[in-house]
Amino acid sequence: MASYVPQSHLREEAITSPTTATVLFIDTQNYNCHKNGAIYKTSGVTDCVHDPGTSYFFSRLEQVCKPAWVALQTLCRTRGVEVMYTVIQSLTSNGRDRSRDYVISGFHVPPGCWDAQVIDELKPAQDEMVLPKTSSSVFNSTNVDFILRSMNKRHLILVGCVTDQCVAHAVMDACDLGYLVTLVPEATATYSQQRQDAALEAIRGYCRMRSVEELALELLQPAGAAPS
Amino acid sequence: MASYVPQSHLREEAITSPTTATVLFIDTQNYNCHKNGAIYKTSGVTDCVHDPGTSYFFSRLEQVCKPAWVALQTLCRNRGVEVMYTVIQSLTSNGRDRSRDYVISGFHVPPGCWDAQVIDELKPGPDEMVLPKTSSSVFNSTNVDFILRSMNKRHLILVGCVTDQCVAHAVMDACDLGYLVTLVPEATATYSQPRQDAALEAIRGYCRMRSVEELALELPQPAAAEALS
Repeated sequence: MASYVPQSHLREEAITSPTTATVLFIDTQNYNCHKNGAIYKTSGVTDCVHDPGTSYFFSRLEQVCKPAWVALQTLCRTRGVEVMYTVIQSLTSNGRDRSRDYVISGFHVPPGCWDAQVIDELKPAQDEMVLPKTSSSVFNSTNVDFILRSMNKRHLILVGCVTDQCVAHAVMDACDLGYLVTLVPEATATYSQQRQDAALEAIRGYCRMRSVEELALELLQPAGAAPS
Repeated sequence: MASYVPQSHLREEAITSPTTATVLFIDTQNYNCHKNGAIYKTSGVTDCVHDPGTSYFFSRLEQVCKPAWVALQTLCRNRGVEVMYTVIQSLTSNGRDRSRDYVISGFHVPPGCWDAQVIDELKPGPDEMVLPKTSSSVFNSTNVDFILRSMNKRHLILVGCVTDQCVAHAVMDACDLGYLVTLVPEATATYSQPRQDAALEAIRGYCRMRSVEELALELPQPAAAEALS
């Protein structure tokens, strides 16, 4: 007999051991997160103040996301949660390796250039993995799933931009692939509040949502210890 | 030098040969598209009239989607576009093969049951492929990508439900994987108009959108008809 027996509480499972978790920063790079990023120069939008979309985006980055990203990165490093990054970046100087989607969308970030780099505030440590991607979802053009399985990762904390595209897509793919996904809303951004709200609404069945503060409390619990 | 040079018009590429295209019906099955589907019985919502979500959904199905689905299926069969279906369906009777997501979400449709079947109005032909899936995106739990590549398919027309979950997810994955995706909005449905609108807005960068009528004008007529005209 077919059935429909949702157990949504299972998606709320806490991270009891940091070795089972990874935080993945999505597209937190100069290309789109810095005012001098090539995305803004080439499209003709050079005045961020007057374009409402980019104005909102950078305002949110400065006031909300960057502090959240730094806090989360520090928290995870301190607690032993693997910190990883994925950036929009081609593997070749002329971008011939890119997906058709990135060719059509117009994204080309050659290897080794400033636009490819994670923003300074989040500078990856020497031994932290940075995966170049040329698709909307990190799962489609990188071997991130293979890497996470090799490290026996069960929990995946996703943050970055933009909420309604690369982040939402990664949330959905990760969920399909069996990961327990945690989204940190204050650590995600897109180009308008409406897009942000719509994205969170659309993906809430695929993940649990936690603030950096909540994760800090959760990751403080030693494995197996009951909260006092 | 990094650059941002969008060429969105490339996503509007027309289908010039039907052999390069496939239409994929997503989750157009009894489980969720029939009032007696198990999704509605188990959740306690037995009165579709009074639940606004399911009421809207079934109303849209009857008035908009089902006619569009049937018209599109007929059109594609006539023009030689491959017609495929994917349905929520486990491979085992106890569903042990399902993704963690489907276990948590509570979806279990055993093989061979009525809930697994595509709705009667869209009954698949004997040689049309029906792929059972246990993930949100058909690309994650089936070999649909392998099949499409084997058939040299470039264009993928996506329809079905629900717009903001399984359909949107398939659109995004298909786009990533190199397909030129056509979404037919009138042939998609979800449980509220705001969800429908939000979904179309969110995925419009990943696909082109065409009505059934526009596709009927675009798809080349069969060669025999051309020879006669």
